[in-house]
Amino acid sequence: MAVFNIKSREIECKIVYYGPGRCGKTTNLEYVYKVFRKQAQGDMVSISTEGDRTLFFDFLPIGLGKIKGYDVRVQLFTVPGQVQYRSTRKLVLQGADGLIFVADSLEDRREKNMLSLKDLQQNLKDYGQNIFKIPLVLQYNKRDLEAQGFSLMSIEQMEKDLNRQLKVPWFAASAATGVGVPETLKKCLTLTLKSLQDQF
Amino acid sequence: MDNRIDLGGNLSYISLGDLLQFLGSNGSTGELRIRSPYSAETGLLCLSKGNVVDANLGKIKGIDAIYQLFGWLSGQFEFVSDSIERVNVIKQSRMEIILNALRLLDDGAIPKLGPTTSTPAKSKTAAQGGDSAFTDIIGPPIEYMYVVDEEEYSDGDIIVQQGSHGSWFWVILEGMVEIIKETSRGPVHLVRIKEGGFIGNTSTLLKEGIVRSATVRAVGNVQLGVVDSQRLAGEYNKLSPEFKTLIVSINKRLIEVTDKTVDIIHKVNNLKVDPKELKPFIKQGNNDTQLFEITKGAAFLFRKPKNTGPIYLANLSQGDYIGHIPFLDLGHEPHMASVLITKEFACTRRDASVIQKEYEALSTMFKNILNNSAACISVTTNIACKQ
Repeated sequence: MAVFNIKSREIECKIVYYGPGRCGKTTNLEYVYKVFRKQAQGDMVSISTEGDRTLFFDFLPIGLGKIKGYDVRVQLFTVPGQVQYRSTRKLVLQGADGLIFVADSLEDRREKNMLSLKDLQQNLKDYGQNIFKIPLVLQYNKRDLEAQGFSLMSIEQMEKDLNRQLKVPWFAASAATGVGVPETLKKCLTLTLKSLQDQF
Repeated sequence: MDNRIDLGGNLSYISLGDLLQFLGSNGSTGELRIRSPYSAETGLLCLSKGNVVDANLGKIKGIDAIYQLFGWLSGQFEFVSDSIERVNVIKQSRMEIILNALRLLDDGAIPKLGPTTSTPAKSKTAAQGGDSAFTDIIGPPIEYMYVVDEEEYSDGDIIVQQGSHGSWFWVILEGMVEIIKETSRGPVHLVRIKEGGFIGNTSTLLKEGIVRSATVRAVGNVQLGVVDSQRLAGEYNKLSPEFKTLIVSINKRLIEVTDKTVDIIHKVNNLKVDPKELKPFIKQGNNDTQLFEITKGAAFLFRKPKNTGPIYLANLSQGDYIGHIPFLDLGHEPHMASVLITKEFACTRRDASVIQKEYEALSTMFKNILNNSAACISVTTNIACKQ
């Protein structure tokens, strides 16, 4: 749920990176923070949660225009996947305006991806949102690992596994090198802003 | 000081995390006060331009006070916009505080304060510090239908004297009482019970003139409602033998846990058996949902807190229930305590779902009383483990 701040004439909205543990959510955000340093506001908050990290920073997207004369400020989050971090997940997901689901291309993570996506759907449902309606982008991460001899799932297979019903935009990416990272975020921002424009 | 409030509400509707985000994006400057019926202390957060710069909760100051407040699942908050003259004691950014606090909360490092029935037992493990603010018990809304008479007491009045006989059963309408265990080494102050809580336990329904197991004293002015025990006894008599046994067992467990807690406070080693001769029956942290009634031998209840050795909580015997009671949160086995048994031990399994159905059919008053006993067991256990 985006917040209109009348005082600063800003709209504050929230984009959340979701995905199974170690899929590269934090690598995505770290890359964005590093490369678009000038657009990031304040420090990046990094909280170590068991087996994962929760990251947060404020981001001012450039060149995406205004909504009803308001500047847009985006809060970028990753959310810990472990079941026990219920409170964090609730705070982060409850008001999410856009989502990026990061899937791990490694073959042996196939089931983890699908479970995590199912989890996301259930979590959204719990907070009164619908995975088919919220702006969502898929990212098939770690494509670079193929060159190092790891066996990856084909994009076709990942599309079939994860995107058959959703039919949302997707990107092949390698968060470690940054390939596909800005594209994923940009697409999600565009969808989110469009959805906000439609709403207000 | 004026009484103007710019923003007020309840944390059970908007959580502290959401509230701080809202005040943050508004760039608010002023004081945020939070009160909870579960705490004697009021929380105070000072905000400057949307960021928390200082906080305190009783003796707890700074960032730790904020973390504690994140455990308050319900409570009234009031924000007054005002200029703040404080040095920035707290340096962390708003979102860092929120995310860290929620992580600590989910890791169980922040004690949760809220309605006892909805608090998962797991969260109580890490209750920190010996602050009395965390040992108050407040009851559910009062069922006035069951109140047949009202009584008033002034600060310090003894309502019930340990060792005396009596079968009266009260609900606290207003104010707070203190439960004190009289011992040969002097009185031990255990828990405080507030509005909606009960004085006396269900054993007073079973027979006349039972011996009181503790002293109850008024803290400030107290208004009590005398509960219609005949009506409750009527309801009790209709229960199945299994359910009656369960109620007796819960009462017995409360008395046991209280006695053992007093022993722990006095540093008395109260375990009369050699632990090596006991064998484990239920292991702490288990998700087993079975329920048993002891038919022979004895069982010993232990909790193993994170940083210390196991703590002996109760000695249970024939007729006592052990295992998972689906509708009551005692803060004991199987999640929060282990059960060890003697060689002679024998038990029969009880169908928890049948008992749960019977519980669900009880009147709200009866449920409230059972929940109150469960809350007393849980809170007293925490006191024992904090020593």
